[in-house]
Amino acid sequence: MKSLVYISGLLAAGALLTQSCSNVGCTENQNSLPLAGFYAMSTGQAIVPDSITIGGVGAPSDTLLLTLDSRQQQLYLPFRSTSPSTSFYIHYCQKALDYPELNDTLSFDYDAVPYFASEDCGAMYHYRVTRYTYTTHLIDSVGMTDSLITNIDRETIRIFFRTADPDNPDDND
Amino acid sequence: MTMTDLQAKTTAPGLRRLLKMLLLTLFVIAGTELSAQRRVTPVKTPEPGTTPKTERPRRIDRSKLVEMTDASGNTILVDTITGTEVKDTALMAPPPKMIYPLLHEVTAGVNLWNPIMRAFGQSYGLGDVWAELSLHNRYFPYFAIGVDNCNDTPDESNFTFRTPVSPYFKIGASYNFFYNSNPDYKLQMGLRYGFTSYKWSVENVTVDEGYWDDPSHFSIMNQRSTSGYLEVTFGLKVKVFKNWSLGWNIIYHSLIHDTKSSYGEPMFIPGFGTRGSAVTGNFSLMYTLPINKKKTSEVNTVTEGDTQTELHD
Repeated sequence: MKSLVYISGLLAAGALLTQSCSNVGCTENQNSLPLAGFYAMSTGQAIVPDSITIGGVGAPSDTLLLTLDSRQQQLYLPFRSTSPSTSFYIHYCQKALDYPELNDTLSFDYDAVPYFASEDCGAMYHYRVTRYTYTTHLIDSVGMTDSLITNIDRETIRIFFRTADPDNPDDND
Repeated sequence: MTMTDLQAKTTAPGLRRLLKMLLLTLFVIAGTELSAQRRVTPVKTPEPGTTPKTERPRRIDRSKLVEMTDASGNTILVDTITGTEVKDTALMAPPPKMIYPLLHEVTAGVNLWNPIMRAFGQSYGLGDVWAELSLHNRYFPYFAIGVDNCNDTPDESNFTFRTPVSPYFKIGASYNFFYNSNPDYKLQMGLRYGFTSYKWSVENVTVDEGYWDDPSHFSIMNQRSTSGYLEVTFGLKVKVFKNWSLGWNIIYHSLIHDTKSSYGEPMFIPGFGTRGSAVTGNFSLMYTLPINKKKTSEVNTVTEGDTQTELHD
């Protein structure tokens, strides 16, 4: 009888412990954020562009997503959930290119689908991209690896730039 | 030598005889080889005038045996010279494999786990009633019917998850490790299958990417799902008062089928709990109704009078 009381206590403690330790947390994003990567068209290699800034067209207070100080190979381009399309601009800050007319613009049209991911990651939209357009001042091309944007943290947009060859710096478009 | 010469030679009668002898010799050699493979285990014979080291079991002289009964009621044979006691196994009743009858008890219980956990802040779950039949106090077929609901807005979340009161069913069986012991105490392991069909909604969702400063709102309403899950239980039951008992269970559970929805997966499943949890519990108050109180050993006991009657017959 005594041993049963001990086992009972052990089971109760174990059960309460497992209740409190059951959540593993959200291992993905809590929003569906498209992740874009930068590449050199000439080599196909990933690059970290310098002297550029990126922002959303119509963003409050012209807030930038990529500032001059931050050099990144990948960048999240959050879609506006209240709108069926979102546009982003890329401004080049090099001396010869520092004009708004030479900005590149990237636009996405999409359908936003409500989605409940999990208790930890919460509810969000999944975005099904129906069309995307871009200008080609310094951008050579843009590609998408998947038209469905979810909260899974993976690169779905690839932006290829025309870059100068380090061996032939004059060979810049 | 050409082929023609060889044929001429083999057809010669002298050579035929030679071949026959050669074959015979080969048979004899083969037979010798076979006999050479036979193994012989060497046995060391004891030297004359010595006793072997291995002790043989002593023989009991049956003429010197006296029949007696020990404290347990077993018939024993006592050698009056050496004092050796031997149990008369022929007169001993074989121990029954299961001492409790096939239809032993019926137990009905109320699972109080969710009401208790709700008192500690849980936002889902109601409860279930269940019944199980004791077969030999060893096997326990089990059936449960219950209802659950959910109305939960987790901390730091952007939604409210709702499931209206929905039924669920469980069927399975348990095994009692103490099957030949006092049935007031049981240590059981069980396997159950749970099934439920229910509706779910995700309401008051706010989506804010944090950049556009333009949050949007939506709700996913009245999605219908059907889920099935498997439970492995381990627990015990203790009698507390007359026919009333209390029981604990730790349950490991896993979803085995679930309706897919383009709007996501429900976070709460009736009878299962939250989707992310692998382990849960069960705490039951139960009432046991005896069907057959007699032990199998009591039923099988043969009285002395009966034996004599059989002998006379």
